[in-house]
Amino acid sequence: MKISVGPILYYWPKQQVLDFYQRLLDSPVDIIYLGEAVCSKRHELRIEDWIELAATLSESGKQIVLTTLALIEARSELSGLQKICSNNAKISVEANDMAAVQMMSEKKLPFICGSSINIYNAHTLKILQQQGMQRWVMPVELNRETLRDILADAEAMGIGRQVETEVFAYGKLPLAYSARCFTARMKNLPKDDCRYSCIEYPEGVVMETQEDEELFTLNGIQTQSGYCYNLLPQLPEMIDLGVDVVRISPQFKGIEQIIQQFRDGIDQGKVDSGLIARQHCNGYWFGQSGMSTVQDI
Amino acid sequence: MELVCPAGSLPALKVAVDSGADAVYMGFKDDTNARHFAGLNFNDRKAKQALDYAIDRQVKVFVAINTYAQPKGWKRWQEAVDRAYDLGVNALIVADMGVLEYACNKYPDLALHLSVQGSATNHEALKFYHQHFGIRRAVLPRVLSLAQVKLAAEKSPVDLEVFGFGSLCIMAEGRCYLSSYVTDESPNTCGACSPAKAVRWEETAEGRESRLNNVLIDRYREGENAGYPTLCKGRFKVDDHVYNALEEPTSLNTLRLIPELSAAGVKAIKLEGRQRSPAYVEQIVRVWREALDAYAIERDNFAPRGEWLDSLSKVSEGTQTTLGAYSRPWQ
Amino acid sequence: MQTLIQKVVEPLVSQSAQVCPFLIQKITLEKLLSQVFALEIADGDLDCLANRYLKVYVKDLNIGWRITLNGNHVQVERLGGDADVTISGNAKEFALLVSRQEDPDTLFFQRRLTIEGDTELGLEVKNILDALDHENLSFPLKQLLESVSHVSRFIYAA
Repeated sequence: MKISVGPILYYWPKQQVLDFYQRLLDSPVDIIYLGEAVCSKRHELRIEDWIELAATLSESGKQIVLTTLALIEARSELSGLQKICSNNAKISVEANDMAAVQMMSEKKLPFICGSSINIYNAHTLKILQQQGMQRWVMPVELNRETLRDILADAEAMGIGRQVETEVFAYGKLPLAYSARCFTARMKNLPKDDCRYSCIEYPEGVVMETQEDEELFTLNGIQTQSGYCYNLLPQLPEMIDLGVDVVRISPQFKGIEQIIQQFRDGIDQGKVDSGLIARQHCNGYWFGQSGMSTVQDI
Repeated sequence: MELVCPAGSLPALKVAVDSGADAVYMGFKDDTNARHFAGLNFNDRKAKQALDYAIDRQVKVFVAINTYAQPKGWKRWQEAVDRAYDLGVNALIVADMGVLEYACNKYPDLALHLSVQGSATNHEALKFYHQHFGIRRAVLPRVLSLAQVKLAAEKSPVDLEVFGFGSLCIMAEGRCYLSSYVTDESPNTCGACSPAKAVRWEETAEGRESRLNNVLIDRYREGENAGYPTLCKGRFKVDDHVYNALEEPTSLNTLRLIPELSAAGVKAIKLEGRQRSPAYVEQIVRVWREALDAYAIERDNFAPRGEWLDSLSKVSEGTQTTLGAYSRPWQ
Repeated sequence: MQTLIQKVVEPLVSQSAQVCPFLIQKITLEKLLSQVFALEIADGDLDCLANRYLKVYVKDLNIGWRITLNGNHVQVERLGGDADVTISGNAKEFALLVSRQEDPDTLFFQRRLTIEGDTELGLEVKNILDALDHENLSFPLKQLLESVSHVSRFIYAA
């Protein structure tokens, strides 16, 4: 089983981003996704910078994937997407919107589908596989039973081994994308004049209920879970199911330690569940509400 | 522009037809559609009556099979497509690629519309669905600005339908899991957002509280209008301020955009609200019919009338309406 | 005129409802409801009320009932006692609701109607009520609804 690090979903200063990837090169991750998946206005790194960074990183021997926006509405967003899809460095692409799927399949280029592409059954998996999808990230709200069924159906359809399966296994869950920017809204700024406020919140803004329960995390136009999703103890089960890649979503601090825990878990075939913090959740995996925490037995 | 109206029950369908709908859309009584609520929707007998009633009056019927099929229920989605075809409906409204493929292979003559749940927000995505499943129309998510709707319409290979009125999703439809994060059901998996089974209202000393799976969504003081505890419309705490951090309880109303939408080449206007009563359907369809008819005559001089807006505001959530994402300042 | 009616008619209705022995209310309501929902009962749509109680409470008249499904019959019980869900509001709201002049969600958003307890059961009952095809009702029942509609329009015209 491989470990991937997903794209940075927040807005960090350029130097922090570069440092982050430099550190990742020394960590036991196999796949690195990078690029902007949330907001096209973020410009610390422009598309050209991301492509250049990806090209540099790919010399390390790690698999490098350029990610793309999940919500594509404007003309400029489509032309940015086109740049990534036809990058000369031949870096692979993660599609997070059907526009990217369309562009890649038109070019007859292979691609990866991120968790915001709606694959809920093996029929859909097959349609996309035939268009060039090599790996899919399971939609975060699906559970282990559904995954088992999809993979069994895929096997029966004869595409079982032709597509890799990746599961979002650690980090704040991406839950929704809006036309509205919630970070600008909290600052009483219009979206068109957001002053790039996201840069002040390297791990998003916590949104609590009136009873002080951490419910969601606001990250520009994206809404994430309040709790951190953590499937570390489920590693053995995921290996059994045939999951090929587990994804860790970047956080500002301490990602190396998390990567190491996953690496150890994979190598040793078991995990100490004492590593799960109080504010972690795993309900989706067990077919329950995403925010709940199930003690696996 | 064609007026596409909601029908959660036979009486709602009848009033929609009688009040001037060009087409009505409905769903079956299971999780194959995005308004899977107890007591709502059509069994086979009612669906047949609905078809007869509408077709006799030259009104089209669309059936929504617009949730995402999961392996265990795959047969249910297949059967829903078969039933709709056998009923002789005018089009299916579908989101899932697997279901689209099944319908287009098995019934090549059956018109397919991409549901708003299909989440296609640009013409490249629309091209994919057109090339692979031959969709004839797509319903755009409520996240686009007017300029973006124009761009999509200009380059779209298929006809476009947009939302004109009703409950407002502020997240890109088909890609919102807020509901399943807090309950265990979402629009994609179960056809339910903030499902009623998880909703509790309680009158407390601090006011009326609404909870979703025990999570406090909002607290209403005496005299404050209440909303359904949809997660995106509650009042939450951010940076020590309590406010509608995502959106206020409000409804979308684009009555005054009729000329722009028509000029952009939008082919149909969808009214939301299959979960609402026949009284609601009657009021909104009547107003929209009058407005579209008035626009056909007045054209450049068209302006929404006060009584239309009052009538729509009255049945709106929070008794207020917005242009939503169509207007940049809202975003 | 309106206030006059409200001053005179409402207390009259309230008093007569309270004076009218419960047994008569029960028999009348059970017969009426079983007739109105005959198709729905046959289709199993009302099974949600089997062994479960819906409480309807008309606040300004201080009357109400608990309603359940017993086999193929609607059963009406006294107010006192537990219910799975309670819908309460004033007579006006119920009249507008039954005669389909006002949308129940609107009444709810404006807090003129309250649902407490099992919300899903409450909404299911609301949906069944919405789905009731008035054209299938017998002539006397249609007339009854018509008069509720007329009377409420007359009393509450606003």
